[in-house]
Amino acid sequence: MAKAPALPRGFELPLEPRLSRIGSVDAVALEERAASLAKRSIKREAKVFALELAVRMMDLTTLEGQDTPGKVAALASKAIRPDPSAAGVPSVAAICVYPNLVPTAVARVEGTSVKVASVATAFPSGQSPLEPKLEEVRWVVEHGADEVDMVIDRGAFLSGRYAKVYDEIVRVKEASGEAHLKVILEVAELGTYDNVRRASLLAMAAGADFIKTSTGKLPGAATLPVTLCMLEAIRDVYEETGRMIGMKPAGGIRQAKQAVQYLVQLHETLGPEWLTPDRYRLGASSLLNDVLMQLRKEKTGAYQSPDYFTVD
Amino acid sequence: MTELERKQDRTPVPKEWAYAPAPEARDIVSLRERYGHFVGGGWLDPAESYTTISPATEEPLAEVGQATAEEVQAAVLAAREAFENGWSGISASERAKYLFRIARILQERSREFAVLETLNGGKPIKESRDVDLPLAAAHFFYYAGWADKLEYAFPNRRPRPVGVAGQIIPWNFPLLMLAWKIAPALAAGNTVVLKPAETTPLSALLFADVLRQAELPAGVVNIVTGDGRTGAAIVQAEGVDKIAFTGSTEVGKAIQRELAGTGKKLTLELGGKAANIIFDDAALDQAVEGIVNGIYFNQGHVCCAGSRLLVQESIYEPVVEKLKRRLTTLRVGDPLDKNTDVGAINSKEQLARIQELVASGEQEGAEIYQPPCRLEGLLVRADGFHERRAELSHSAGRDLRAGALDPHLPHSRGGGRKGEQHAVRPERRCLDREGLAHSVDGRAPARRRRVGEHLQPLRPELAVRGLQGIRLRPGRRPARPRAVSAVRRKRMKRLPVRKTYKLFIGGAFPRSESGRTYEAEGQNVARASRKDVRDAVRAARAALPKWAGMTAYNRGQVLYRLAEMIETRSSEFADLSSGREEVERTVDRVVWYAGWADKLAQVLGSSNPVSGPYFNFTVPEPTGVVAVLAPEEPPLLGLVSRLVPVLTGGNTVVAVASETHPLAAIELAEALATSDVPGGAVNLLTGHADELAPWLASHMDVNALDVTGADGAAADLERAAADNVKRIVRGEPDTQSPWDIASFLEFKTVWHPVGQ
Repeated sequence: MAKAPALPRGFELPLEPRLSRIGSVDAVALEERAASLAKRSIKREAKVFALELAVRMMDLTTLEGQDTPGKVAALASKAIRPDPSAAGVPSVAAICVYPNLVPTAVARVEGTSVKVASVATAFPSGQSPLEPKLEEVRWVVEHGADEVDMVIDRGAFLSGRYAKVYDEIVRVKEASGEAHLKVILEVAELGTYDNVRRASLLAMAAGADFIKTSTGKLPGAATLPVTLCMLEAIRDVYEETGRMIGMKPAGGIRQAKQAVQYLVQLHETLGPEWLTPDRYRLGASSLLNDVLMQLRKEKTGAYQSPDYFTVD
Repeated sequence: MTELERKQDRTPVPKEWAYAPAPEARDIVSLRERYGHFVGGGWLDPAESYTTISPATEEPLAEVGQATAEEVQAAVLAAREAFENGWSGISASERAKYLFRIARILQERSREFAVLETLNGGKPIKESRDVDLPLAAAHFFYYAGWADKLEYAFPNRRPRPVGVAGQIIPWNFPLLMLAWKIAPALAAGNTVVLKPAETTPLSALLFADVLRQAELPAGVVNIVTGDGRTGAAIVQAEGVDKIAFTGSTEVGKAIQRELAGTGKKLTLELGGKAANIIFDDAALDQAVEGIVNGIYFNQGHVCCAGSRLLVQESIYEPVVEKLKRRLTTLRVGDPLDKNTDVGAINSKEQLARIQELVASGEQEGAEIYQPPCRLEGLLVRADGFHERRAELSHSAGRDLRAGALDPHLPHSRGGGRKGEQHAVRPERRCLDREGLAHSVDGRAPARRRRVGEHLQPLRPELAVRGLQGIRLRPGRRPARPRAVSAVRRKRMKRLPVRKTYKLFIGGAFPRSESGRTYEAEGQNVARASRKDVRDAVRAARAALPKWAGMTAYNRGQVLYRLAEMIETRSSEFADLSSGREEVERTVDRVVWYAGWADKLAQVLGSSNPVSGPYFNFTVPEPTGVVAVLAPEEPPLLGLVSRLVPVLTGGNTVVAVASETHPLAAIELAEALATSDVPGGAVNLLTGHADELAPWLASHMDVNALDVTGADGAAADLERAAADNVKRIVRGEPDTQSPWDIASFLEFKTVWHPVGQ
């Protein structure tokens, strides 16, 4: 464990004394709390508020081998104006693409509020040497990406080489320059909430602007309890340092109802200060249409059909 | 990029997010103006009465009886008679089935009871809905299973009923306490006189209606209402064999004194004062959740509410800070609002007691923390010791005062076993008097166990917790032959197990999302809501590719299989319809349509003469998801006559069953589920058609609407259907015709160039 001064408080110590300073998570109580918050009943104007906010916070994502410039162009149009028949529906926060498609995405959203996020650092596995990872980060930033979504080295984390994980984030942060850095923990591979908490604190200490649950490439991506666990880590960092780190659950959020549950959880855990796309993002692809359908349902009073919304 | 896109809204995000009110509808509960006492299966007019209110608004809800000693005696006599004349003599398996029935009926009427519980008691609807009602039903279900297995609970001890149990329960969990008391007593073969708390009598009175539906023999359960005088009358009544009481320690002592020397059995469940002990290796955020649940659940109206907090010194600051912040997020308000965390204090008297105790704490030098959501206070002791007594409100008033006067509750200083002793010692001291349920938060399992051992205050309990009203004999002693009365020897007719009538959505049988039922044909039938409509349409849409994508020949075979399934259940269907003839005609009709499935293209499709070098042909295709409002009569044939032609064409269906005769539709759902019709191809909803039909008519994902069963209201439905140009079909309740299939088909015409 080299570089002790740069590590967050507690990480330089051997495991036992470290635990109490990093803190731990009780799975049963965490899941109960998440489940109870998910039962909030959000109606009428409060629901419209949440749905519009969900749109504003969305990182509309396509991360497929079959992505083409044409698909990214369509995605960009949808990101800028999600519902062509309802001018009041705001733009999404960003579109999230693979590095190769950054130039197309940047050209398509130019002049709008929509940002371009690119995954990088050998997404999704992170199993590459550091230099090519950094090169990838520099490349996407040079080509205009506003935000970089990196993955942590889970192999290093799970084998106890926290310093390697930490150093890598620090280097990627440097390489990102002005671009915002989101650090993907890939919680499904971390195994326990304790590990999620540890990885969250490590990423925040190393300079993450956002911490993010998942790549979306594995089953068991974002869940309400794991997101709550990360929000609590963010809150502890805020209490201790005053830094306001952002949160991005991603993967498996497909329904408007889920989006509202995530926002309720955010609202009642970190408070209204975090109710902004600067501090919270929802990584999603099919979610947007469901949110648009719910918005129109609130407006017309009738349940909607996907037939009347664009196919992604 | 277009100019329009450039202009897209970029206004800053608003920050305030106030949740809109989300009140649970209270019209599901219909109360009478006056209630008597439920005695011997009927209502006894009370000599005196009082008004019971909603503590949240002080709105009067109903007049209820204040039972006199004579009225109590009448109830005890009824219970005695029921005990002697049958209940204790029927077989335990039959008793079990009554209790199973009660459990089911509570599940079926859960929302009605939840709303009433919240109205009359002030607890948040989310708790009565998610805790009180499911648990009350679970208790009946649990003890039902024990009724005929008592010899396994008490091997070699020949468990027998005690007789008549007088049961007095508190106001903090009115229906759940009733279940705690009545279920085990009945399971063991006793009969009951129960008195709900003075402030919360209504759920017990509504429970009498559950007993009617369960057909429980008269007098087995009797319910009298009133204040402490009524309770005293039960304790003193002649012919009571056992008293079970949950409530304050003071009253418990008085009852114990009163019963001394009478030989009557007694069970007391009294108040306590619980501690949360938090060590420095605890998961802090979750420990805070534990504290909040421990003390704010049910406004703190819990006998084992965690009213003390002992925190290891090294984490004292963060825990208190986290707790204070967490308290600001509690939502205090209308108990019927689904987002309310803390509802109404149960009564004015209780509120006054809380306020007085908080004031006395402050006088002793504690500092009060009051979050912006206006709770009754968090006390932090100024002298380095601290004690939390927020919402100090449970039935044991004296205990609280003792707590307030308790000299010092030190938080543990440092770790190690010595620290543990610090934490545990004061708790042990008060455990003898008051301890009921403590919680220990900390990672180290060994420490949790050590502390747990120190805290263990209770006598070893019987393996079967809570089974009361049982007379046990020591093992191996030969039992005296039991006198068997003539009445007992009478063979009781077997009690049939009844069906729970649910919805049919996506191939599964869920209860209504709304938790509502209505009574039809003598049964509690699920009363679907708009959200069930939403789910059903979603299921129908999801099933469409599979059903429409089958070959027509396969669809015909599946429909024929459905006919087989109806035929094999023909006697059941006959009971639920006008009779065997209706069932036979139904089966024949399904067979007739099954034969149509692979002939539609030939009869309804065409190749068309056109002027040009084109091969022009027309093929029929399903229109999509079809909503069917089934006619009221005939209950089976009417539904099938509208449903099956729609299916034959390859559509999927959401049907609303006959409102007055829904049971045949539910039976049909079971036939569908066992045929090869894919899950979701047919969804059947029961409930009030005029509530559901508008949601179907306006639903943008429904492609056609059969309004045969809508009388009168169809104009509004047709208007709503215009938004996505739904096909509207008004058919006959009893016809069979290929045109009924064609009404739900789209005709696609293809121009195929021919030439070189």
